Amino acid sequence: MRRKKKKSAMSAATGVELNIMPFIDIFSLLNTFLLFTATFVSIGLLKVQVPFLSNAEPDKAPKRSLEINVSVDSSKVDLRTRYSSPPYDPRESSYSTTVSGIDDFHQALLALKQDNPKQELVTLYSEDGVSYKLLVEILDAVKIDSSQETDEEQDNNTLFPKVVIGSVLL
Amino acid sequence: MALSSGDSDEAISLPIMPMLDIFSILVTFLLMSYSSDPISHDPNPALTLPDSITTVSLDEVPAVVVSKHEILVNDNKILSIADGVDKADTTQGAIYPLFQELVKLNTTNSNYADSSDKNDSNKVSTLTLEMDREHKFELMRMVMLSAQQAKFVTFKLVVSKEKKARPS
Repeated sequence: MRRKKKKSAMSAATGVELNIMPFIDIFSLLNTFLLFTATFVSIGLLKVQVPFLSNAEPDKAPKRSLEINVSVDSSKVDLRTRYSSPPYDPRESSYSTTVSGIDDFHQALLALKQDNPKQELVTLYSEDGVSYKLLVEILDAVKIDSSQETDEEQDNNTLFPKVVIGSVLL
Repeated sequence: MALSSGDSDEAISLPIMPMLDIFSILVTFLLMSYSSDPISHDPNPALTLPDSITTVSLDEVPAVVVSKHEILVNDNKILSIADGVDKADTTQGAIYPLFQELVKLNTTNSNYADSSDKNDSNKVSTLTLEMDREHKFELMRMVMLSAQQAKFVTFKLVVSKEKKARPS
């Protein structure tokens, strides 16, 4: 009894110590697991199509629709629009491939989408010398609507979701 | 071995609090950056992906990889392109060995789609393409034409997601 009293008096004097070794063990294991399984590059996708032949019957009475063609070469991007039936109202504008030029091109596409909200298709033509990096920048400008809130999970901020790379079959 | 100093009864204690702090911060950072994408895929080390502001996440492992020096289909080397595509390997603008391999892949995909209950006709004609950002469209066109002739008409281009949005 006397010994017990002596022991409790000693622990009161030294203070209660928390055993943090299991805590460190768990942290070490968790760190190791996370470091091994972590992927530091976040990977995304851009969906495009190429033209193809189909057996489907053409529309008997095609509606008047807007055709949007984008032509890319290393120094400039041309945006051409034209309606499928009269009045055709053809329009053409050119933009440089600099950051500000691509931004102007994107603004022109935003205005085009505002006037034609149901339009989804853009046909893209590219010169052989255009780098894949530049092509992806142009695809971003065509497909992604920067005026809308970005949603990390949903693909709901698309501007023109259907992009056909027309020059594949040329 | 005895301690050299006279106070031998004094215990040596390692300060582990800074280590715990570092561990806590590291765990927090790793948990925050932990990818919740449906598929975790490490890009081929022999290529650099182009940056994009897309929000669409990768949903399948790329079937065709065009690195700086070679073309791979499902991790099998098909062709070396270190000195460009050899003209002997091209037919009507398409890369013949790639076309052959993609025909096999399309047949496998079709057979799988037929045997499974799901109607995956769109998936059968979709190809995920991972390509180095320095390649020219000329090569991309050849790859796409080879795939188009093997009945792949939709392409998912693998890109590196950029966090910042385009200024408007």
